[in-house]
Amino acid sequence: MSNTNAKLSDQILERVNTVSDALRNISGVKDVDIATAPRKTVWEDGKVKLYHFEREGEARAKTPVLISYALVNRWEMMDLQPDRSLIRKLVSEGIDVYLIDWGYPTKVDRYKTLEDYILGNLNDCVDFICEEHGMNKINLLGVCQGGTFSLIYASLFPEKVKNLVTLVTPVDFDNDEGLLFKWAKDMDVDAIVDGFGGIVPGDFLNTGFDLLKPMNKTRKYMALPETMADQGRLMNFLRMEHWVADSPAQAGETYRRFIKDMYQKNQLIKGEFVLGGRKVNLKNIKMPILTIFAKHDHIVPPETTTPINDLVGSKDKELMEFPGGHIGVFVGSRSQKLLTPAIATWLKERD
Amino acid sequence: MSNQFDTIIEGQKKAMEFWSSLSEQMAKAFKPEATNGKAKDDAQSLFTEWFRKQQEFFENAVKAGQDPQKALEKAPEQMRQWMEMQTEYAQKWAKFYQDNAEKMGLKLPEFKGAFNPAGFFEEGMRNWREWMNKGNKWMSEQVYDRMPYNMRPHFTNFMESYDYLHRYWEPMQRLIQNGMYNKEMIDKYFSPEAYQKVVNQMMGFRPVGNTSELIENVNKWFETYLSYINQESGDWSSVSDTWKEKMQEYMDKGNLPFFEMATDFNNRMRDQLAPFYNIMAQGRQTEVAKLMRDIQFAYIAFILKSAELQSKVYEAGQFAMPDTVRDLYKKFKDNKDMPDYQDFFQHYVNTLEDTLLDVLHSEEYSKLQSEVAATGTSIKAMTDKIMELTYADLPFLTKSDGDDIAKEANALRQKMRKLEQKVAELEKALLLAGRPMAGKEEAVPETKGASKKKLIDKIGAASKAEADDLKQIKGIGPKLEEMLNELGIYTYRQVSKMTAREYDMIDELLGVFQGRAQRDEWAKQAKALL
Repeated sequence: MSNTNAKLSDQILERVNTVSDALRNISGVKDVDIATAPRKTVWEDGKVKLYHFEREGEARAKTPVLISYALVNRWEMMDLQPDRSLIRKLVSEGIDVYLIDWGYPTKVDRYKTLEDYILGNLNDCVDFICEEHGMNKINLLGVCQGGTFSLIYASLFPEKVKNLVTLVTPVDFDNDEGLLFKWAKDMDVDAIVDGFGGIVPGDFLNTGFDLLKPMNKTRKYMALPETMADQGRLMNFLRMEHWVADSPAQAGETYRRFIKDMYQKNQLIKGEFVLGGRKVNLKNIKMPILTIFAKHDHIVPPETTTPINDLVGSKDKELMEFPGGHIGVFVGSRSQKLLTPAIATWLKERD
Repeated sequence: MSNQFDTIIEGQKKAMEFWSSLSEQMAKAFKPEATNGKAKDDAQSLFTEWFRKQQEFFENAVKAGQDPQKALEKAPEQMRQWMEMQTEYAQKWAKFYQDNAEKMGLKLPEFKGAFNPAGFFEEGMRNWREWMNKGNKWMSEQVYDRMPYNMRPHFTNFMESYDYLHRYWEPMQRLIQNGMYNKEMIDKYFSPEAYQKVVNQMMGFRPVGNTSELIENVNKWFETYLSYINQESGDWSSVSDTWKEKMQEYMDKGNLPFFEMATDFNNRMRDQLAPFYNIMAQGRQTEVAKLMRDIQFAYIAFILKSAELQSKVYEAGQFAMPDTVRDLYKKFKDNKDMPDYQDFFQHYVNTLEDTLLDVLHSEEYSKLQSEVAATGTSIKAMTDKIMELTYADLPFLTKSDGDDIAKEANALRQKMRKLEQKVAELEKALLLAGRPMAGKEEAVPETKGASKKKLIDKIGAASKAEADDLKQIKGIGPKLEEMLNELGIYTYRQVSKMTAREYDMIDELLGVFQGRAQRDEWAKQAKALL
């Protein structure tokens, strides 16, 4: 009798505690801060900015690394919270970290092309950093779609890339497991880009991302009282919500081309992709390359990522499996403890 | 800040009401004839003591609730005290009933001689549950306020579906207990409407309702709109003043169906109305009417396709709920373990997602989704076209104007990149050839002198004494005249002999005023002045 009693009263007590903590926490939230690692804007071209993250300690590697993030969402994912920040961790390893912020395209960017992004912005940033450090080549770290950019870039300008790291980067787009890959094949991208008047809203893309795991949001909200009762978890939740909601629009021509040439025709892997009149041959990549994929990635499944290892001309190449999902690569605790230090070590060994 | 404490205090007041009504009910058991004096006295004193303690407790709680921060801090502690008190009195009451039930003529079949505190608390917890629910609701609002704007609809949908199912939690529990074989209940709580509502909310669908009826409404709405345009086309300027009344009139007649999408569209058109009438007056009516027709058909196609897409999801998910109940029934049968609502909800969500993912992976879904998206965006494109027509004569930058500018900007960007590459190549070539990099020094004066000589050779020399007033030529002002004189150009005759080549030379020599000679046709003007 008293057992059942205690059980029930404990349950209720626990809930009251939860609710009371949650109330206190949510009342105290004033601002949801993300991307707090100190940085300087060192180069700008229109909406595109190049950041240099400030290092506190001594430099422990001489070659700087440039991060090329995806266009479809925001780079803040790499510095979402101070204790789960890929960028902060890399910087703390004594590496000079640069990152391209692609900005938020607006109507005036509707004709901005892949050439403008890769041969223009990315190349300009590489040149800028080379000059800044008095070097001929630097390290490139490409993330997701930005990783595809970095592969293209390294194929066209192998002389400027010392080491290449790709993080959850799709290269073989002929895949039926990943829903994005499957859907993109059937997508009438012309109708969509033209219908939206050349600039595809971020919300449109988000609808697609949401459907990849249709009940994810529901699950997240279901756990909300418990999440809120923990100050740290509450802030993480709000930070993530803000990141998810912050989706930039896509420059129409770039979007059209990426969907057609990559998702629908899979040109990169076939050696048929042409950028600015130059054919992109992945065999030109001869520098050391580290390919990181996430085992449970439902956005960019491992099968779309790993083939790169067989396509490049590099002798020094490595596949690294991360035991988690797409987002875990950036904010998981294992990312902080294992993945980022491993990247740093790999880079330093080839400095 | 005050909301949550209102909730707490309200919850506490409710709890007090509950206890006083309970006391009334319980007092009925103490009819004098039903018991002997001692039991009655015992019961009454026990009840009085219990009731007094309750009151004391809630009075204190309400007092503490005046200071929000304190109430917040004390809430868990109060809850604990309250639970302890209930436990203590539950035991006392249980003992009392065990001792006196027979004497009181009461039967306690359910308890079988032993008091069931869990059941008792389950009942007594209603008020606290209400307190909790209100608290949860308040929290949701707080969270909602701090969410990014475009995430809010998802959250609202979630809260609605969660609450919706929660309302049926009790019958659901009964279903779990008896393995779902209760036809009446299934009919009541698992009707297609109820099911569709939940799925709509969870997937964020806009309920489309009965498709054929909807299409009828769409047609009616467009017809009305078109007839409205035709009827009123004679006097557009006055219509815009009375627009609201006119629209109201139409709506009152029931000619405008009230579904949301049409209202959105309607509002947008209303905002655009003044300039819209402007184009009517200028004869673009036909084009606009045609676009309206096209939109109408595209919109119907969009609705049909969306409905098909949604029905795929419904079809796939329809067994998720019965499957969930069945799963939980198995567990209940094995170990009498009734899940709490959260667990139940979670199980349902997981089951639903598994089945949905199968659909989302199917060929049909992918194709259909693409068609829905394409049709939807084509409607947007046509609406834009109407706006474009609307703004055509107004001093606004339209979408296609913006498009031209964006195109131009991009062409310039690419041209610049090509030039930069060329410069880089040339620099490289020069370096390889062992020469210094070009571009640092000014053009050598000799070159300038040589061009000047070439120019004068062609158009003939003249002196200051022969000078004509070159300012008579349109495009030449005092400053430019002076500069031309410096080059040795003084007369109309000289200017009249110029051709495109000489214009270029002048541009090159003067640096400024690029292309002006060509544009203003100096030679032609000079000939006329001779």
